Amino acid sequence: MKKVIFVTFAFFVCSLLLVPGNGWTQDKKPVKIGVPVTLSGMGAQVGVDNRNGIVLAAKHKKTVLGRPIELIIEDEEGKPEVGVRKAEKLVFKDGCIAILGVVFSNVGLAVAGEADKLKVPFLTTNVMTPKFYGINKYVFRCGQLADDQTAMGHVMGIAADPDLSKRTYYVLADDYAWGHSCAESFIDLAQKKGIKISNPKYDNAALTVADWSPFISKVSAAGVDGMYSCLRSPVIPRFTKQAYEFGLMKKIKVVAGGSPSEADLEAGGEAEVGMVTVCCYSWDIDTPASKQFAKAYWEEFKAVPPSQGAQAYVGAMMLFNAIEKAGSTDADKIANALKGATYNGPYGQVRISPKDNSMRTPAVLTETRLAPPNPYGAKIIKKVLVNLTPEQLGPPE
Amino acid sequence: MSDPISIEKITAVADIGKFSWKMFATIGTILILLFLVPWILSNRFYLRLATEILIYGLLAMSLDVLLGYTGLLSFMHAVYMGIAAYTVGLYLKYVDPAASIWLLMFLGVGATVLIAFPIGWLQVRTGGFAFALLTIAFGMMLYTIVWKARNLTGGDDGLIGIPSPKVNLSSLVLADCKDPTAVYFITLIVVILCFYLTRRIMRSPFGAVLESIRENEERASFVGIHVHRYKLWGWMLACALAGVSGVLLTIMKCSVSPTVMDPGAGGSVLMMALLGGLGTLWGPFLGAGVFIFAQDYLSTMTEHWMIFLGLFLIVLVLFIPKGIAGFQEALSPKKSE
Amino acid sequence: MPTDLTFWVQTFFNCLGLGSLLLLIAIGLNIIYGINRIVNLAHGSLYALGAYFGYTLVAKGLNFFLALVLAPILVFGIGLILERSIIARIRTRPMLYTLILTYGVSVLLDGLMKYFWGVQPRFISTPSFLSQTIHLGSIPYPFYRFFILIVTTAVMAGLMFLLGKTKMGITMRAASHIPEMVSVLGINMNLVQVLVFGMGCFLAGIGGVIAGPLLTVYPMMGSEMLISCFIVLVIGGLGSLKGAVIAALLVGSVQTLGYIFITDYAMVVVYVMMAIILSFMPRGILGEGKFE
Repeated sequence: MKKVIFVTFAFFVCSLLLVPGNGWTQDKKPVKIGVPVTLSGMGAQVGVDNRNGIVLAAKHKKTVLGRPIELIIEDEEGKPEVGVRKAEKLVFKDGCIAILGVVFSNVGLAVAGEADKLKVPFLTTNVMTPKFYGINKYVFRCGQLADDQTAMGHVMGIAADPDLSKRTYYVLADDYAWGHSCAESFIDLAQKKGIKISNPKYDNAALTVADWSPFISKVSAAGVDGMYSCLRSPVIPRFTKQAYEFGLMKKIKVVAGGSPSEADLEAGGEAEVGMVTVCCYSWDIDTPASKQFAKAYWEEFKAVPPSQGAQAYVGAMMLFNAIEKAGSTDADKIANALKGATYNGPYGQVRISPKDNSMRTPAVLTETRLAPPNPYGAKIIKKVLVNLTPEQLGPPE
Repeated sequence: MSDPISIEKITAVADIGKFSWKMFATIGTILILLFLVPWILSNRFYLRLATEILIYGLLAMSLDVLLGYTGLLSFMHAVYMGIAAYTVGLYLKYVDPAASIWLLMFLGVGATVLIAFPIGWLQVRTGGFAFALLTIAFGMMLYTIVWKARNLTGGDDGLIGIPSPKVNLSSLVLADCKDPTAVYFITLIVVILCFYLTRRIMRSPFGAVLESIRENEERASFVGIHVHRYKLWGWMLACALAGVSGVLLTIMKCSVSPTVMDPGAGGSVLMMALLGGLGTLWGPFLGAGVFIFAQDYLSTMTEHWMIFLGLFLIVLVLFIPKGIAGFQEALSPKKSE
Repeated sequence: MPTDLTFWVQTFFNCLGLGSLLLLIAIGLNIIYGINRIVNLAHGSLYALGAYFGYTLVAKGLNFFLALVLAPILVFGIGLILERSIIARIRTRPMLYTLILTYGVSVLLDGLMKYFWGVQPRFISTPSFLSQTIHLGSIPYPFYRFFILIVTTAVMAGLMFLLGKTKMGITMRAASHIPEMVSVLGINMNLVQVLVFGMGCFLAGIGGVIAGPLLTVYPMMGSEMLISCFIVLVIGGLGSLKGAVIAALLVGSVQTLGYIFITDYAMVVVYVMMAIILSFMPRGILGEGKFE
């Protein structure tokens, strides 16, 4: 028995000794960038889209500072402590000079909390929480619209449209930090602009809801003709499909505060038609840069070019260019280069404001329609209705 | 008939078994290695991993007290770590960032014990599978409360930027928890203390009573033991130890989030305890080490780490069922109901 | 609070619908526990597997109803393989092992599903007459939910007949009470165990194909359903069919009404209910350890 203990323990100790003990191995060749994204669990599709966008950007940029870019991708599972653990591993063990990615706000906040210990630039391509504004000198946001920008975009879109502005909206939010943030920013702004809200205290739906019938019945009974959804993307096709079968979708117009991803729209099919949403990118955008991106994405991944993929692509490019501009892998120099950085990409010019380290970006108000014949095999298209400028979306500087 | 074994005997001098040079050498080597870890693993990431293993090892050990010694199964034991973690986090962040580590330990464990007592009182009236399911019910209730109290706990965003306390002995500053090496040593010392204390308790007459309850509740009650009372004590001890691990966790991470007490965490700590071997107290530490290491390593290696984790667990149960430590008298058939 | 008739009629059927869906999914778990005394934590994953098989079969052009029969048969097959290779070995060991083992199987299956089918959500497409909106008077309601009710009733009726009237069923029930007597009578206990496990998996598969068009098919669907299944199992009483029916309807109703009136705390109410029932009626509403 004692032998077993000894052997096991010895084995354990030896395996620890085998790992590099004296700091990380300094590879002179590639520039390593850590990419923690959610690859399992509910946020997996968003994580995959982000990852793909970043990988595509690295493929296009090829080298930075004359050295090849090496992406080290980790699955942070949507959990803050895994995110922190992965970030530490990427920085301290793998020697990454920057962290790029991160999908959920809670993971983002946890990693941002460690920024002073990690001492590398952290650029998120997806975190939406307003808590990120100016949170740390090393933390930047460039990619997905922040909650307040999303709310502004939707409110402006609704106010500008003669049909949408007349409707009364029922607000339904996922019961977690993002859902609340999304709903509250919208209701606040909407009421100022005179958009009618049926339930200012907005309804919460627990994350575990699979059967939406009670909510569908409630929305029906509220007699509204519009709905503002703060439901996360994977849940939207489930809700709309069930609502469709109740005949609800014919009566209300859904405005999706949480923009559904292209993959989720494809899954839902016809029931997804007629949803209004604001996002940075849709493959419907008719500019050469947009078409080029869509084609490249399709060729690389054989999937419908997603908004989040484009957003992550832009964020990654911003980071690579900033490293180039800084001329070194020093964290402070890169952070300085990121302040005020601009990039002209698939959806126009995006800029990171030096005031709060967050991006100012154009966006588009879209409506989901049945897609015309297209090279991506997509059934649904986010048809661009209105172009929104960075100044309109804010926040003001 | 009066209770032949009284609770006061917990503090009785415990018998640590026959002294032998082999045992001394083994324990000595292990201790020396543990203290040398910061120099063996000068990489900061591994040091942090080692600290995490110690903390979760303590949590898994507390579950061993509950399951391996008292024979009560809990699916959400991590909740009691969470309560202490949040209490300490909230106190440091909102009440007194310069609080002493002794006070924090007292607060964290105190809060856990306070909440664990009424829940335990209700739960120990049942046993076996019913007990296990009640742990899920109460665990989920606590988890939901923490999640919903957004204004206080930050909800699923959690608490970040918790200040690091200093370790003070009167006015002498021994260590600052911003330093990962200091955190490691504090954790190590606390864990060793808890381990030793728990071992003494388990080897005392009190521990023997718990084991007799685990073996056969009916028979124990026939001998005159107040089964419910002892089960409750076993539960309280397990939760108090979990509380200690929670305090250590907040100190190490400087942040708390509800995922430390979600069903996944509850399942993980159970895996760690079972992996390491129940009924030994030190087995769970090995279990925690292997589990955390494997999980981290696997998820780096492949996106499809779930396949390997599943296979690993299956192989484990089929071929190394007694866990690494090898004792398994804890698992009596009594548990099925 | 809404007071019109449409709302209440819809809510009534919503409760019934959710309850019957839960029953359909949970009944397999109940049977495996009731007869084999095995707590199958992989049940959720098997249900998800049924949904994925159903999705692929329908996507390849098979008629939905044929898929409804074929997919569960495939899951039954997988269940047999699992039982023979893995689960049989720990039958004699204490419950704790079964728990980790079946948990390991569920992680493995979830990982495999993610590997083969990816993380995108899918829906199983149904023939259009099933997904139409019918009208009860002026009240719109999805026909599919009635279909779920019909299927669940059929399955339950079939089960009650099988277990109550056929020789095989009676043997199975007897085997759960008095295994020694049954084996003395010359009946192969191993076969009984295997068949029961397979049957549980078959039922999980049906649940998956039925749930597929309604909820999304994605790798986590199993783990999300599992806790609800357990609650039904526990409240209804371990091993009681009638208890499961009552429990499923109860949980379905409490959940539905909870989402309407207290939205965020609905699940807490369900947990409180489970805690109360367990504390005072640890065998559940109707369970007596016997299989009824």
